[in-house]
Amino acid sequence: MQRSMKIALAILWFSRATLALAQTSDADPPREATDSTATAPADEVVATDQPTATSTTDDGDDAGTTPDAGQTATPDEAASESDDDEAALAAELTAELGGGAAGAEPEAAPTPETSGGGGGGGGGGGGGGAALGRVLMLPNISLILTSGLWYFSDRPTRRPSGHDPTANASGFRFQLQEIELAFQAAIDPYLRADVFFALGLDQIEVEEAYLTTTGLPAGLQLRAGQMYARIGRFNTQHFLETQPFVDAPLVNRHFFSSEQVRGLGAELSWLAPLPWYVEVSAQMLTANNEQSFGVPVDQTRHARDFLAVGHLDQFFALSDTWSVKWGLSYAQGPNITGGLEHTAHDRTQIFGSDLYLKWRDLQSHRYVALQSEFLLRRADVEGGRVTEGGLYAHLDARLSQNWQLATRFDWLGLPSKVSGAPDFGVTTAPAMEPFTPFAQWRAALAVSYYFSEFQRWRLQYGIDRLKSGAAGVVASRDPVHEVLLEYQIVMGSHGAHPF
Amino acid sequence: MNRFLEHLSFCAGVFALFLVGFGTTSSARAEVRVVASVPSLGALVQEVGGDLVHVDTLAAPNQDPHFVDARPNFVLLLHRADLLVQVGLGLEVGWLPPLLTNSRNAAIQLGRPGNLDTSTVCGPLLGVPQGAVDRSMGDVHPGGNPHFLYDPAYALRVAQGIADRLSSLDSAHAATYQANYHAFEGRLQAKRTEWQHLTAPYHGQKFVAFHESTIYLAQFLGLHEAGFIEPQPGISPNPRHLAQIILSMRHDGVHLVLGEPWYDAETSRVVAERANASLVRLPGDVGANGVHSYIELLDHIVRSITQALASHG
Repeated sequence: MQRSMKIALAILWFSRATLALAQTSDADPPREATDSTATAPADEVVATDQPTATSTTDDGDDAGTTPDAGQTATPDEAASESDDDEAALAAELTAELGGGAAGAEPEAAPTPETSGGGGGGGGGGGGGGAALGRVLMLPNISLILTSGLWYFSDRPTRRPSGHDPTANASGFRFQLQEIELAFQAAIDPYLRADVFFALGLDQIEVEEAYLTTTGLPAGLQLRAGQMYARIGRFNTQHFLETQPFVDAPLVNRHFFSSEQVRGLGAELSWLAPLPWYVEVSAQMLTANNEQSFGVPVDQTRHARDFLAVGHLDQFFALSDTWSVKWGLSYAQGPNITGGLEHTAHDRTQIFGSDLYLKWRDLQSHRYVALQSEFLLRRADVEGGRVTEGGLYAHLDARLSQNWQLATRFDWLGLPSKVSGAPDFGVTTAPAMEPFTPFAQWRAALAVSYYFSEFQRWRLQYGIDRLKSGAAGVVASRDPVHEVLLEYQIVMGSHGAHPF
Repeated sequence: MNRFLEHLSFCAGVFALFLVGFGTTSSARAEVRVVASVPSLGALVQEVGGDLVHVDTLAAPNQDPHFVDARPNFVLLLHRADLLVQVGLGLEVGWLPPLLTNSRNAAIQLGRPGNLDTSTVCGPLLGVPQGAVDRSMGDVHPGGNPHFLYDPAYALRVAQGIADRLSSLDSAHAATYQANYHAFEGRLQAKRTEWQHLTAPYHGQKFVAFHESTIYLAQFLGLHEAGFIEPQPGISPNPRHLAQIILSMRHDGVHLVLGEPWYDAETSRVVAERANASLVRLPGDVGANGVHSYIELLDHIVRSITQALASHG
């Protein structure tokens, strides 16, 4: 692992230097003509008259090297000199500031995510970016496009098709992961709505579409609609924008397959009147997850067909720069291993604990965050019970405005226990085997480069070792190496970032 | 079973103690609870509200107000607030909206009397983009430049707006809020005369700033913005752009580079050095660098800038 860290750092510094060189050598002749736009960006158009003056004098006047000797050179000399001077000076600056103009840290997101919605219940976006949109009473609209190119050394396991990098065999593959289209607005003084669509090449799905009350008494808040279940931290986020990796943690994919746990229903949450942040929430959602739960929406009839979720969130501001958020989750719902008639006995329970520890440098965009979740699943099926645990931990460092480095470890099979002689019965697809325990681990290292707050590249290397699982298909195999290159753009309103 | 009841009642007792403790601390506090998004707004609220208000500030004084983490402890402050005072114009858009939704506090939602967007009372906005706006121009604020608290004339109007809002929320003390405002106005006006004397010799001089946060400061000091280290708002400086800036500074005799503490010091230093100019690091906001009030903040800025300009004759 140490070795791959070193390699990644080398790649990082190399690309940084390359970029700086590209910027320096990019001498574009029409630049002088557009000087005024370069020095007076739109924000200041009204009040800045100076830069225009600068550009006109630049053209015909000298660019003497000392301010005091300003008036000595002739216009002709100056015109030719100024270009050379500029290029030479730019090269010197590159050397002095160490590339990328010193990786300066001006205005840009400390976290890249936009329209992060779900996290912590009740998305953001009110009063968002488009001032004109607000005048026209339009909701905040954003579109986030994510796609990538993957290489797998062998056929990957537990990469269900959907938003994760997927492949049926070794080799290269191009994939449109998601186009997320979001609409967020206040409905009236009592209610707001947040709607997130995931568009694929040939399908549209509603990721989330919920209403949130803004003014119930006693610290209460009600949400209703299609929403993510508050099982842990990852499951509540639109992860392609908010998480520092190309893919989802293994345990989430193993337990919940290609989508996060979500359903139609309602949530009541309560902000406890305590000196620190304590939020308690309860959800009743349809249990239409394809893996651990499973009653389709149109066949949901009884209370027992719903998924019940309880979540407790606590936050401790240790200092201005250190924060800890700790969550506990419990979910219980039907599985359909015995068919729809036996959902009273065939229950799946999930116990979860999630931790997020963050250090933020107030004066820049630098932060370091540790995020970890443990999920335990207990499934009662005909004839027995399967208990299985999974864990992931990741470390995420924002090095500057432009660079981010993250590493993650995933484990499955802590513990892994089958009691009785469980009959998995009705499985909707042979490959899914919803409750077969896996022994598997993964490790990943990801480097992201943000051109601006609205555009980024991400390169991730992963190693995936399946020791046992997927009964009847594979018993044990060699590690799979993955190289994942992802590109993302953000269009439209500037959503807020969940903590 | 008895044992269980014992435990249960113990837990309930602890919980009740928490509630009581919380209740008493809150009632012992000041009457109007105000949350300010940035420290200088908090300082203005304190000037106008005096002992009648309790002010909490969200952004730290040495932190870029565009990029504050939406920490959940802010939700608690907002939940209990009677009044939220924000800058507006999209300055807080990256972090305040989800906090506001999660606060479950109807009184401070947008458009309510408990939500004061000070950009609506600060006076004529500068830097409002003309014509079509899109992100090829960088991360522009379509409603106008939000950094108006650098001009005391604007801050005075904001203080007046805060006094008016506090007066309507807490009408029993309206006279006190107005009196506090007038006292503050008197002190600020006296200072403004002093600042005018200090800056008069340098009127018309130019400076380069890191970010487009200085348009109101330039207006207040009678200086001109000659360019920015960022090629466009929110876009990292590149060597080519820096070279252009340095050459034009040398050419135009620009002797001053300004930047807030959250912008890269090294880049600013190199630009200033190569252009034979002085770098003045602005102090950030009230609470940083030994600055304890709004007037001290501007005093600090005026003195450091005039000293730097004086050193260039």
